[in-house]
Amino acid sequence: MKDKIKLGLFVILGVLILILGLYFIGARENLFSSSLKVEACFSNAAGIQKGSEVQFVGIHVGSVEAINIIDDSTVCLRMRIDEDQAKFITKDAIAQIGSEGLMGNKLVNITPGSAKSDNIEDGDKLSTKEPVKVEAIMESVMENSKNLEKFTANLAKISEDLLQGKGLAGKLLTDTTSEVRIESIITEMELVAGNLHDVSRGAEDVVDKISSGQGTLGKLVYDESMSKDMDQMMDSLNHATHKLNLTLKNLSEFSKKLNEGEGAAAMLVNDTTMAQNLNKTIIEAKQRSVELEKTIDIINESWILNLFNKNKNNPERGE
Amino acid sequence: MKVPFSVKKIIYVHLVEFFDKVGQIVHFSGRFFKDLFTPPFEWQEILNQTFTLGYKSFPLIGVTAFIVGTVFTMQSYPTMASLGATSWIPTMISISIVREIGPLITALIFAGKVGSGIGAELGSMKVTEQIDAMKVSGTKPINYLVVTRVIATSLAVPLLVIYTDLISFMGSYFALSREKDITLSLYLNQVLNSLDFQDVIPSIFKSFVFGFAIGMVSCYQGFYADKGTKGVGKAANTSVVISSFLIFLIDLIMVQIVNFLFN
Repeated sequence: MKDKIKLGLFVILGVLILILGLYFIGARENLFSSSLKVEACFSNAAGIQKGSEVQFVGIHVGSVEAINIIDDSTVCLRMRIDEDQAKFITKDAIAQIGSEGLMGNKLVNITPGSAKSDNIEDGDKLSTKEPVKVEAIMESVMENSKNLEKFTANLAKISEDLLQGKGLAGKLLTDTTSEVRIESIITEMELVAGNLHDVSRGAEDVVDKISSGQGTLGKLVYDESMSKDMDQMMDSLNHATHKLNLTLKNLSEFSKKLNEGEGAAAMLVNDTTMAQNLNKTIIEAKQRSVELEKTIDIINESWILNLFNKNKNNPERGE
Repeated sequence: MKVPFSVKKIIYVHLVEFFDKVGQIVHFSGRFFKDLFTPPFEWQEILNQTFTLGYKSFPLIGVTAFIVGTVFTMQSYPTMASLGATSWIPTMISISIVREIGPLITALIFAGKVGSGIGAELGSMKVTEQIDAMKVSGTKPINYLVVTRVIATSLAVPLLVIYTDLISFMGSYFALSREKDITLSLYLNQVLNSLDFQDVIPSIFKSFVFGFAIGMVSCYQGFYADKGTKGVGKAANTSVVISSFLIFLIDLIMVQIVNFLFN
């Protein structure tokens, strides 16, 4: 009887361990929990197998239930997603094929969509993002390595040229005579640097003076009375400008009137007959003035009048 | 100088012996399958044999399994550490133990302990004419001696493999926890996460076939043991040798079948 109990325990315990093991494996594949079935199509699903893991933000949420080849460039994966976890996945979530670490198994990774979108439902089709192909990475690496190879070859050539003293840099390294030149250049540069130092010190002094309000510039910057004078000057200038504007305006009006022929001045400018008359009058006036001069001369020279003007040539009288 | 036996004669004798053996085994298997479904069913004896062969093998197989798990982890740890892949040890251990090491170690130890026991027991019964006496008394010796033992071994090996797997995991955790800071729950999680139905189910089925082969071979060797005490020893020895060889052969065939079915 005792042996039978022992045997019974031995068998039951063994079977229980097996069942538990199978249950955990099944639970991982969502066989014993309620789940949703969603689909995602890729152009390449390399490495994905039936039962491959499905992760949402890196957490296990389901497994791949079936793999269907639709055409020569489309493979659709039907995934079983745990219903409890499905409430976090929205309709605009994106499925992508990834892997567990660098060498791990391939899996489907779902990245979250927007919070505004509705949750996924049974039979939904998720949008996908194509996986980064290892071949593409390798091609890029190959190209980079080729470039690196060229670069190192060029570098080797440059270093060889340098050692052989080719080019300016090579001469600098190998030509001993250039040392003297370089030294003189350095000396000149030291002098220039010294001068620059002096200049900078001078500039520093100027800035110090300006800062301390010395000199015209300093006063201009820091002296308040000068700034007031400046303000007044600016006001005067403003006033003068205003008056100049008025004068110009008047002048403009005058010239306008002159052009339009209003007033005596305009008639003088615009009326030609009047101008001719005026001209004639002036000529006549000139003739009359000549005649008047002559008459005056005659009068002056007449003896009758000289009798009344005896002191005419006496300088002492002070005329 | 004349050679007593020519090479041709030796080959001929061995070939005849081989085909004779094959014929006897086929005949014996036919009798087994015929009596398997023919009353009387010796339920009590099946339970007794399962207890004797299975339960009593548990301590030996348990200790061996623990040592295997520990040693396997200790041996693989330095290599995995040099690759920076110590976190992959639970995965590696679980797959290798469940798929291969567990069933193989269990079957080999079982063949050594139980196979030799069955061969010697039935051989001595044959030598002392107890089997003939059973026939005379109306008890079917195949039913009572062979069917019960083969069923017992076929049931015991899968059960022992389940225990072996679990104890090996514990042994592996014991070794791993000495080297690395890892909790038991994380370890078991990693072990179970790496397993699949196609790892466990073929392993259990394979164990069943191993148990059946060990039982059949041992019973046959004992049932057809030569006369005398020498025959008993030979039956025990041959049971172990052939069972062990068959275990590897079945393993090879099962791998092909599993790969064909699941991949």
